[in-house]
Order: sequence, then C-alpha cells, then structure tokens
Amino acid sequence: MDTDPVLLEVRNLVKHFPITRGMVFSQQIGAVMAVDGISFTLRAGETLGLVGESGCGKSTTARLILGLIRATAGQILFAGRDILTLSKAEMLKVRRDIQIIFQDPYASLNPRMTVQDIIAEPLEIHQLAKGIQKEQRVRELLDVVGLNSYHGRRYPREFSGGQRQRIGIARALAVKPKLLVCDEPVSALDVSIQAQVVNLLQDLQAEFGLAYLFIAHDLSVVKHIANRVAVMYLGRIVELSSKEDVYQNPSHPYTKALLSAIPIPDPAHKRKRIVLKGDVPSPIHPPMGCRFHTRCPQLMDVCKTLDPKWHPINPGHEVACHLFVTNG
Amino acid sequence: MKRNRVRVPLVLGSVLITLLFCTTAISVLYTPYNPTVMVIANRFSPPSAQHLFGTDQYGRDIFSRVMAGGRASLAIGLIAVFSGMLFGVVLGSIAGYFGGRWDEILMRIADGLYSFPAFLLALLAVTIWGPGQGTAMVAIAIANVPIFMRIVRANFLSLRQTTFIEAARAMGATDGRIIRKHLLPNTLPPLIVQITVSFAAAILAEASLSYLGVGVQPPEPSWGRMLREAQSFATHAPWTVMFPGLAIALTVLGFNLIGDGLQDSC
Repeated sequence: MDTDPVLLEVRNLVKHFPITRGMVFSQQIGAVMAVDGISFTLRAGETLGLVGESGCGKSTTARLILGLIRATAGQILFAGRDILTLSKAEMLKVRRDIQIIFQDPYASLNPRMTVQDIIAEPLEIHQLAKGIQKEQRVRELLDVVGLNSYHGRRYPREFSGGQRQRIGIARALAVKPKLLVCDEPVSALDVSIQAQVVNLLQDLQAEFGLAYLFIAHDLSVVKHIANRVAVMYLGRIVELSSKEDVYQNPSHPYTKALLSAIPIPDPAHKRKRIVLKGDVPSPIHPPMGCRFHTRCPQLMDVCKTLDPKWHPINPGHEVACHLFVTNG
Repeated sequence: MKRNRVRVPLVLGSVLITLLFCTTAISVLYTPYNPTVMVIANRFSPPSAQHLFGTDQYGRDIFSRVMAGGRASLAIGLIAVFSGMLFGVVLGSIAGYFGGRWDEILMRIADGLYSFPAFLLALLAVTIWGPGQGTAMVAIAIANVPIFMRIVRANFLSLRQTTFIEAARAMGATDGRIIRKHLLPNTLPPLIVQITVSFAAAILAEASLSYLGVGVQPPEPSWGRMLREAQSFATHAPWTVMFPGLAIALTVLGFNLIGDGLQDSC
C-alpha cells in the first residue's frame, strides 16, 4: 500500500467562514475557523479515516475537496495538480474522479426524480452514455450496489435508509471515480444496516480500486474500514497514524478519550473511561497554544501558549502534542 | 376518511372547469343562436324553452352569449396567467438562485409592482394603449409577475440549502441544469396551486375591466361586458344579469376549489 502513488495531498488547507455585520456596508467582524491548516495524504486504493466530534471541520474538509466551497488558503493536490487553481472546464474533468456519499440518505436524493434518473444524471452531465447504453449502465450500477433493476422506476421515498444510501453510492460510482469522499455515510443508519453498507463499500473498494476519505464521528466504524486514521479537533489534525497504531498505541490525550468512549460488548471487561470536561471551544475564538488545552487531562504550562509541533511516534505515526517533545 | 374530504373540492372544481372548457369549445362551432345578432321584436323575453336563459335588451340569446363569452374570459385568463407566470418564474429563478445584487434589484421591483394596486395598473395600461382585450391581458399578466416571482424565489432559497442540490453541484451540474432538473420540479406544487388562484383572479379582473368598459369591446360578448350592458335592466329583467354573473361566480369557484384541493393534497 505504501508503494501506491499518492492520489490526494492536502497541504495547510484553511477555511475561515467570515462573520459579517450590516447589510449595505457590511464589515467582517470575525471568522469561524472551521478548518485551520490541515495536511494529509491519501494513496490510490487506500482508506483514510477522518475522525472527530461534530463541528470539528470534517464535513468542511469534504466540501473543500469537492470544490463545493472555496478554500481560504492552502493546496489540494489531486493526482499532482492543485485543484484550487483549475479553471471551470478543468475542474469539471476532475469532478469525474472525485465523488461523494452524503450522511443523510433522505436529503441527498431529489424526491421528484426516479432512481434511474438519479443514477443516470452524472452520466448525462459528463456525457458518458446515451439511450440504451445509459439504461444498461444504470442497471449495472443498481446490480453492483445490490438493488434490482426494477427499483430504477421507483422514487426515493419508496426506499429505506439503507437502500437510499445504496442509491447514493450507485450515483457516485456512475462516473468511475478514483476517490470517494464518504461524509459519515452510515451514521444516519440503523446499526444492523451500518455493517451492510460498510461491507458494500469494502467490496467496491476491492473491485474498483477506489480510495476512500472516510469521515466519521467515532472510531469504531473507522476501525473496520480504514487503513490509516486522522483525528481532528477544532479545525486541526492532532494525530495521524496507521489503524493498528492508533488503536494499540493512542498517543494524543484526545485520541485516548475518543477510544475510551467506544463501548466494549463484554460486561466483565473493566476499563477506565476518560471523560473530557467542558465543551468544545467556539471555532470563532479557538484557544491559544494547543487547541485542546482547555479540556486536556494532561495539561502542562507550555500547552497554554505554544502551538504543538508534529512529533513522530513510529514510522507513519505522528502526533501534535507537547507530551512527546522528548521523543523527537 | 381524510382522503375523501380532500378529494371532494378537487372533483367538484374539476367538473365545473371541465364543463366550462367544453361549452366554450363547443361555442366556437355551435351556439343555439348567433350571439351577436339582434332581434329587436324579441327583447327581454324571460327564460323559456326557446331561450334557456332568456334574451337581452337587443333580443340576443343570453345562453349563446354566455357560451361565447367564456371564450374571452378563458383566452385572457390563459394567456395572461401563463405569460405572467413565465416572466415570474424566469425572474424569480434568477433572484432566488443567484441571489446577491440581482436578488436585491429584482425583488425591489417586484415589491414595487406588488404594492401598486393591480386595478390602477390596468387603468394606467388603458390610458397608454387604449381599451381592449389585449390591454386587459397585458395588465393582468404584469400583475401576476411579482406573485410568481415571490413563490419561485422563496422555494429556491430553501431548496438551495438541501443536500441533493449540493450533490448535483458535486457531480458538476451546470446552473441551468440545477434550476431545470432539481429546483423547478420541486417548486411545481405551490406553482400549480398559484396558477388556479391566479386564473380565478384573472377571470374576475377581466370581468371587472369589461364591466368598466375597458376590457372586451362590443359586439364581442364577454361576461363582464354583459353585466355592464344589463345593469340598468336588472330589476325588471333579472335574467340578463343573473346568468353572466352566475357564469363568473361558478368559474371562479371552480378554480378556487381546484386550488384548495391541490393545496391540501400536495
């Protein structure tokens, strides 16, 4: 896997949403620092899990990569080219390679379109198939995600959440993308359905060699699908590691707290649950120094003033925390 | 049970409007008497087997005139409402989709039109272009533009936030495609309801304008025109005002019933 070419490289990506006051002579009075300088890479065929609690900037990162919102600063290199600088026509070509699956399978499908029209839409936009060929491809895609071809004539409201998510996946696959951004694709589904969809995603990855940026708000789902995990807190990545390392040797205090929150289905198993105190600070006024210092159980003086640098723990395992200064 | 209650006004309205469309269509080919031919010897004959609705002050058959009068009402209603809707939908789409400066400019114009009484607008149009069917049509169309603009814009603003629009953008859909394939189809239910309401209002407006003498011009029959001509005889020949009045009332009622029925079931 380490030898596969790098497909996506995000460098110091920043998104600040301006807060303005006044209608006619509006002036900026602040900014929501949703994503504040994150960097990571994703290789072809690999799955990177992006984990963090609500409001930490995961979905903003997804929307930035898809070009749905403009980045404030930074670079997004896809197959070596910075997609933030592409023209509209060039961006349209790149869109074929990057697709997204949304969290809410009820809101992400147009209620007035039939399933076959929904799945055929990317084919029409990118002029990939017409007429009988298009119908054929739609049937193929329905089959790939485990639906029947007669489902194509129905409307989204006639399907359950899990089935709708399959429709969304078929739509994303229609243009044969290389990268699939999965924005919490199972968190709106029943637990029994979650496993089905995660398994489907894994099968599809094996079949089509897809790379996944898999966004989730807990570490348990990511454990099944990810090769590597990035833990995000308040617009920053705090720990980046292989999956094995992050579960066996979590280093950042925030990662430890997240891991301790995964329920273990064994009543005999006793473990220390790390409960964080306080709320997530507002991304409008993030704390000085380390962003996590207001809630960190291992707070030191240096954390309040100095932004932590990246420190390697193992090869491929890095953490942004002052506790590990001596290691580096 | 709830379903039945919803269906009754819809069915009743549809029957009324279908009846209207049928009689109007037939009137093009056949009316019992020529609606414009005067038979002075036969003036003010009350409703009878020969003249179902009686005759007016010139001895013209009121039944034939009511049939033919539907043509003017429907033509003005159809053309005025649909052209008003066309402009309203296009301008409302621009305002609601692109927002910003365009939204500000277009909606302020719409507010201006909206706050200006539609009837004054029509009279203004008459002073510019002179009385006639065309003037009435244009005036009613203009009055409808801001109504449709507001509906489309408001729906677009709320739909713009939905995930399936974001999904379309992520696919690379153009603005035109997003408006045509995603936004407009989801705005259709309130638009259809508004069409029926506007239709009812347009028929009333046509009748009012013709009543004032600035709409349909004689000898062409029109319901409003018939009311105007018959008003001085209303006491001793009530059928001369009763039947055109009834035609207007039932048509407006029919469209409103359809609108109500659709609103409840959408």
